[in-house]
Amino acid sequence: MSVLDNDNRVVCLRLAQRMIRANRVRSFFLCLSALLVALLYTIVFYTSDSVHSSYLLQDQIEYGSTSHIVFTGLSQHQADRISSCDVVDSSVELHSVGTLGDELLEYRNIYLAAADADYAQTVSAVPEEGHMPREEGEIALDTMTLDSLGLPHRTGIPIELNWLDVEGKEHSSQFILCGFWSGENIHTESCAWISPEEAEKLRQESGTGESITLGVTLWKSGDLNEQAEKIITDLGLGEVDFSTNLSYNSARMETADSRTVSYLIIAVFVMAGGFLLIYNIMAISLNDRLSLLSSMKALGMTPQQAGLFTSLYSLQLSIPAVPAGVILGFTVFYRLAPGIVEGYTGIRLELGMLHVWPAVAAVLGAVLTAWAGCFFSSFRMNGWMPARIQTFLNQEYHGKRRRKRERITAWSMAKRTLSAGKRSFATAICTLLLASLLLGSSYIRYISYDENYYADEMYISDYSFVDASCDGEYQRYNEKAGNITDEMARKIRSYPEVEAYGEFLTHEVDLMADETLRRTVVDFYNEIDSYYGNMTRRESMSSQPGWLEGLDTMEETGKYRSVLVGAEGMVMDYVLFYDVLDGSFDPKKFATGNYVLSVGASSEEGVSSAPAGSKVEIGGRTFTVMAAIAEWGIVPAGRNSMSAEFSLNYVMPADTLRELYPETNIRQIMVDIKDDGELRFEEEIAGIREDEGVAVHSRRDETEKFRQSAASEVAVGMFSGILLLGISILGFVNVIMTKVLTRGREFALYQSLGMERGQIRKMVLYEGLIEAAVSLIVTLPLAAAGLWYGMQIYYNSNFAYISSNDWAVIYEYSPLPLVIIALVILLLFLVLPQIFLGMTEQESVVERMRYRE
Amino acid sequence: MEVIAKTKGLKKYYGEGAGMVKALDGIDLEIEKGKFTMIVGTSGSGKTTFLNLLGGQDRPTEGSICVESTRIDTLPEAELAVYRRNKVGFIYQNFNLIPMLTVEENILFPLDMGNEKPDQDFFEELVETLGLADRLSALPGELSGGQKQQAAIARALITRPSLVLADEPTGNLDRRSGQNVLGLLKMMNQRYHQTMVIITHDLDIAQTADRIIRIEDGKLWEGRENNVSAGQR
Amino acid sequence: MDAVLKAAGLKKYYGKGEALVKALDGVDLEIERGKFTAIIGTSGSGKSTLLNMLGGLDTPTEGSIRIGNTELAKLTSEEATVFRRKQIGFIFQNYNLVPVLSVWENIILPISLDGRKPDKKFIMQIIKLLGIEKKLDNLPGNLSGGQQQRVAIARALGSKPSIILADEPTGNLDTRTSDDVIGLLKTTSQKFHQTIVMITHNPDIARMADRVIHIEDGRIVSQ
Repeated sequence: MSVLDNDNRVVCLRLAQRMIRANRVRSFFLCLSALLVALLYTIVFYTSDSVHSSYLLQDQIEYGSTSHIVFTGLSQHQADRISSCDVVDSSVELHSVGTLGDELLEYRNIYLAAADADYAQTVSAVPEEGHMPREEGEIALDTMTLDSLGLPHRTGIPIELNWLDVEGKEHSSQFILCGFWSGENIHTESCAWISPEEAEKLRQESGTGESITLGVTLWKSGDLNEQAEKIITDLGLGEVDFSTNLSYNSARMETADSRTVSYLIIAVFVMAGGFLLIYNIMAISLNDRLSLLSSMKALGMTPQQAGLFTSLYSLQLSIPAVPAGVILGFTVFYRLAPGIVEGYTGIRLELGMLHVWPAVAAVLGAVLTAWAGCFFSSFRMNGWMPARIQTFLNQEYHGKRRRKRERITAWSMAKRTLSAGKRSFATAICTLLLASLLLGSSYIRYISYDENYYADEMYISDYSFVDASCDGEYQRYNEKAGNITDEMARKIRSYPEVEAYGEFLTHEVDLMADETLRRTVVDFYNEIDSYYGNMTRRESMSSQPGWLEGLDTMEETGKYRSVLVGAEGMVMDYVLFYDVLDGSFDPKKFATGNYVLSVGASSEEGVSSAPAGSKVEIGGRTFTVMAAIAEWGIVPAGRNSMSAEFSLNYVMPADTLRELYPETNIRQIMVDIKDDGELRFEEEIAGIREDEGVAVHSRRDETEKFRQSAASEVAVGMFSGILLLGISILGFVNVIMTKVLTRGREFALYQSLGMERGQIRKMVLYEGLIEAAVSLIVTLPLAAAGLWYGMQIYYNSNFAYISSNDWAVIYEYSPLPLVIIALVILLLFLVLPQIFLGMTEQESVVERMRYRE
Repeated sequence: MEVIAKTKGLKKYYGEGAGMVKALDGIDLEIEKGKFTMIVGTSGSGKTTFLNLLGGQDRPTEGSICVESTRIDTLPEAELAVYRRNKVGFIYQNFNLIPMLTVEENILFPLDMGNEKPDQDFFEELVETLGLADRLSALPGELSGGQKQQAAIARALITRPSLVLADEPTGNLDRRSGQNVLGLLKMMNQRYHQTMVIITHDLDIAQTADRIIRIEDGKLWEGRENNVSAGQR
Repeated sequence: MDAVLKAAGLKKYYGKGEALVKALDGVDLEIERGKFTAIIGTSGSGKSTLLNMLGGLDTPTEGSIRIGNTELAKLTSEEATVFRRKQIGFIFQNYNLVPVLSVWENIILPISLDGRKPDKKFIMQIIKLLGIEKKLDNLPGNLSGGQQQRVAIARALGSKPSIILADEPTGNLDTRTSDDVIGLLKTTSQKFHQTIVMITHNPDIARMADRVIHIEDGRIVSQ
């Protein structure tokens, strides 16, 4: 190939630049297209980046610490040795004296520890109000702890706490609250900060050492388990407990990855759409460029130079367009995304969560797509002989012999002229199909999210007022907290907007089972249940020792824990949601207060609690069991004590419970509001909403969140679909424009033969109609069918059930986006050609019929 | 007589079966170096096809073409492009200037493609002779037909090619410009001893041609040198 | 002379200043009815421009053209279009058949555009004369140059126009076919009393017409 060494590259660049300038309109369209493509890529990639980061952040929050590895139960010496390891980048230490031991806090681990701001940062335990303890006697706690203990969120209040030292001995100390912060519902661990001096004092008192928790951040974030093991073995530390950060857990990361993959699928759509658009624009101007190519080849341009020329042409256009598109895309993303991401994952999007790779990928993607569209529209001609190119350009129309002889009308002419420009037409149709599918599927997904279904399943009442001590998943209800006062309850009940009202009160007691009960329950659990294979029900609970212990105790001694539930008003409807396993429910009789409902262990057939008709002694009174009902789940909110892991519960009228145990407080209130009374009701309960002792949940809030979350789910798909639609419209505009504008000569011929302008207009109108019909007939049924079958498959697969709200879906098919698209396309094809036709009629017939240079 | 180009059994067929067109049906020809050769023939006789093949614009169906002892009919496209760039100067009926380049850039285009620097003296001489000195920075769109062809001639000659091929160079020009152009071609041939092969209808120039070749229906028609009788068309 | 067309003082100038081109520089002309007239001139003599004027495809810078009683230069574009399809038939050098229509459809196109019904008997006569009766359902792309030109002739004749204008009708044809075509034009002119005006650069072809007009540098030099 020595003869090609002389090939000049620079001249190709010069030619490319000139060609851009020579045809400004086309260059503008191509620039615009490259910009759009870059914009879309940027949005899609950054959305997937932020969603990915959010999921990992969620994991991290769930784990509770930003550290990679957390070692527990270390001595200072061990901690120092680990900290000074080569692989360790930084570390934080928690010097704890012990843990809070109050029963009410039994579902959470709260370390009583010396105030350490660095450690506090890593576990989000920095006081938001007040400050870290500085003096002796000060303590800082999180709000969940305060709620569980029934304490107000106010600095300066005195607190008496029971705590256990590292050897497990119980102590009790007095503190003053000096600061607090909002606890996360999912955190099972937290800190109770005291000053270092206080910590030292307490340690002296208890005569024990300290237990150090060490959180380390490594240089490399991979294979955390292996690295931790290695540290331990390298330093010969023996038995050391540790845990690794969930967000670096490979399984979690895989989940995060797979959830964001769906966004990258949209990127594929973008790539296809962008390629098609640019290919389309280039294909339409093919004949012009082929003339030029033929000339240049005749003058000595090699195929390689020709390819370089095309590539440089596309690059020159991409250089201004792509960065602009990326910047614009990022701006749009940053405006839209935070809402989307928050709706999708619950995490507020912050700049620090984003990386550089999406921008880089968008640039590369856009440049590559633009290049491919330009290059492939003519690349096979790069190697042709100049004469062959000329033949291609001059080729005659060849068609079939016609059978019938038609009368020549504008309509019959219109039918014949369709064959030109097939390639670009086809690409625009393909893009339209893609856009239809994307928009259609996003729309279907959006309308299939059924917020009423969601609300009905998740929330049985319009409003729910819950005592703060049991508002969290890991909070044990503090019976003494009493944040929902009787007065509050009376007020709520009295509001005119209230349509239905209900209360839950609970009280835990130990009861004695009589022989019938003992027999019934034990037999039930000794049965073999085919659901568990060949195990007895008792054996199937082997993973819950606390539960088994409870059952054993009952079997041996007859003693069992019971949660008495006082239910009134609309909550009874909820209670009766579940199956009646034995007996039947009679509301009148129940209201007398002489009857209880016994709650069974499961919803299976068979009675697993006091059977109907048996007698139960509670608080000195005897009740008859009216019916045995199946166990329920969601309500009441919060947890009961650990001792109630195995419990047989009874439901009775609220007043009855109050009679038995007068100091019982209201745990939860539920109300339904009249349809138009919401606004007023909100005003009325505004004061309660602000009160920290009562958590207010409204179905409306939740359905709002649900709707937002649904919108976020489909937002990216919708947006990309709209942009793709824009791209396909641009493609059609291009096809229409060229089909009319380049036929100046042809129209002149018709005019010279005597066709009036009006007849030409009619012909062009019919052409537009036919082309619109073809586009729509090809695309829409295909799209409609594709959606019909595709969405059903989607909802039957696992892909549809990835995020937490995906179960609340009732599949609803709607072709609405397709109808809108059809109207838009029709409008395009009828109106645009006429406009362009007007532009061709500027010159005289003769001018147009003359060959152009 | 030094032979610069030679064709043997040159055939070019299009299509197949009943619709086959035999554009060239076996041409054996030798082109003498430095001579002014004219090709005549009626429309569709195959003369343009012949010139295209000679100029490496197309490949023959059968037969061989040898230019300066190189077989150009078997060259791959890339090398053929280099051949066109360096060894052939083509002048077309419709000028074929690149519309986005200036006159000067158009003239130097073949050299640019091959990364060669022009001989400045030669360039100025050509430009002067062809009367383009004050038009170098104009775009083709601003020139008259005659001026465009002058630029095309300069482009054809700048590389000092082995062959200068012209296909109806005066076809799109009025009489005066056409005469001017042919005169220039004759002068170039005399001055620089460029081998020229010209297709033209114009019978006036036939008087000055060194040799007249006539092609009819894709075959050579025996032509007499330097002698065109009144009855012959 | 029974003149079907009269042109007086026709001028057509393009451009201005240094680039001024005088395509027609004062042409006076009369075309006799029913005769086959040839206008000859070299490339750039102005003959094509003249033909465009005569056919109403272009408007003169100065001067007048009358066909029958109609002054062409005074017609609007639309009126000229309608006039053209009723009164003038064109035969172009590159045939200019509509590629998507069959031969028959091409022939009756001007008539259809006028909303008239074609005189089938007359048209079949022309078609037989031109020898293309077997090709009526073919598309132009499948025909040879000579055949296409015959179709163009049939198209021009079919609407029985006042005058047929032929622009280098044999320019793209080989010798034998050229002779054929000119012969046909001559025959139809005689048989149907059709006025035909042909422009060419070829004196041998021009000689076959009833009358030869020379044009050079935008002016008539002999009639």
